[in-house]
Amino acid sequence: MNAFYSRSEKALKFFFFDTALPPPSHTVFTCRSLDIVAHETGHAVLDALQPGWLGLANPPQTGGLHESFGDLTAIFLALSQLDQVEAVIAQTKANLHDKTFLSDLAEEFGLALGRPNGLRNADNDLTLSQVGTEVHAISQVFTGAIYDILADIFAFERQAAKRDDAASLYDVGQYLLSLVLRALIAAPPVGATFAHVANQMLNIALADGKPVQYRNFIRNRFSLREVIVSPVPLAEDHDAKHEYAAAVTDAKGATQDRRTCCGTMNQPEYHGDAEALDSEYRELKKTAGTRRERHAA
Amino acid sequence: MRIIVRRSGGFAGTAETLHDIDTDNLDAESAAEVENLVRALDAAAQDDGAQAQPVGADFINYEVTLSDGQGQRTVSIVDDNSPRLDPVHRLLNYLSTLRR
Repeated sequence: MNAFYSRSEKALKFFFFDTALPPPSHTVFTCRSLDIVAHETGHAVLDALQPGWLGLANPPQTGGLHESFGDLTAIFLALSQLDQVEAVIAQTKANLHDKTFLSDLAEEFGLALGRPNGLRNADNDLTLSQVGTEVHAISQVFTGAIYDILADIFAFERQAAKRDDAASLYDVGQYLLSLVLRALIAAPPVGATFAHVANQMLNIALADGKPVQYRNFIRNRFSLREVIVSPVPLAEDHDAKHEYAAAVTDAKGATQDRRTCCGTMNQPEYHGDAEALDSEYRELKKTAGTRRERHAA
Repeated sequence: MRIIVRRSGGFAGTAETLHDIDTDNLDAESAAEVENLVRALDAAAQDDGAQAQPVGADFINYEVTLSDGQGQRTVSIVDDNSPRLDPVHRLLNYLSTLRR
C-alpha cells in the first residue's frame, strides 16, 4: 500500500493493494492516480533542484517542504490543463474554497483508508502549532498556505465580465507555480524552513513587479499559518525592505519524523504567540470583510 | 519473548501496529518458529545497518520491537522493495498465519 521515490534506484515505484473500502472489494493501483504519480514525480524534481533536502539530518520543516511540493505538483499539474481548470470553475463557481477535486489529494487512496476527502486536503486551516514533526502532517501547513494564496490571487485577478474565469485561473496557476519553484530554488541548500521560502516568495513577487496585493496575500497567509511573524498589522501593505522572522520554528535538534501518523497533533514545543496571531487573524478578517463590502458596492 | 511489529510512513504518512504477540502464549512449535524468524531478522538488520541506507521519499518503515529476559531492542528497516525486506516479509507472513 504505497508509492515512493528512490534516489538510490533513480526510480518512482508504485504498488497496488486490495481494499474493501468503499465496497465492493476492489484493487487500488497507485500508478493510476494522477495525484500520486505527480506527488512522487515532485519529489524527484525537487531532489534534483535541492539535493540537500532529503537527508534525515534536516529539520522537520525541510521534509515538510518536500512532501508539500509533491502535493503542490499534483495541484499545479491539474491547473496546467485547461479542461480541468474549467471543471474547477464550474464545480466551485469560481470560489476555490468551495469543495473541489483540486484541493482533495489522492481521493481513491483516501477512501480506501476510510477518509471522506482524499488522503490530504490542500484547502485546510492547519497552523504550525497544530502539527507535529511528521513530514506529511507538517507539509499540510505549507500546502494550505499556497492554496489560500492561489485563491486570493485568483479572486484579485478575476474579471468575470471581461475574461473567462478559467483563463484567469490558468494564468494565476502558472504564475504561482513559477513563484513557488523559484522560491524553493532560492532557499538554503540544507535545513530550509517554511519561513525561508515565504521570504523568497515575497522577494521574487516584488522583483516580478507584481501588485503589492500579491505580497500582502503571501505575508498574510503565512502569518496566519504561524510560519512568519508580521511586525505590522496585516491590514497594512507589505514593506519591501522587511525580512520576516519565523513564527514557529522546529525545536532545537528536532529530527524529521517520517514514521508517525499523518494528521493534526499538538506538540508543546510548537507553542507560538497565540494571542498575537489571534489579534492578527481578527484584523485580517475585518479587512477581508471591508474588502468584500467594497466589492459588493 | 514479546514481539511488536509496527509499519509507518509511506506516501500516506500513517502508522499502525500490525502484530503484538507474546511467544509465551503460543504452542512450542510456533514459538520456536517465530523466535527463529526474529533472530534471522535481527541478524539481517545488523548487516543492513552496516550498508548505506536508501535515499528517497515516502518509504515505509518497519519497526520490530523485541522484549525478552535480556531487555528490549527495536529493529528498524526501510522498505525500498529490495531483498533486504525478505526477513520482514517472512516474519509478517508467519505471524499472519497465527492469527487465523
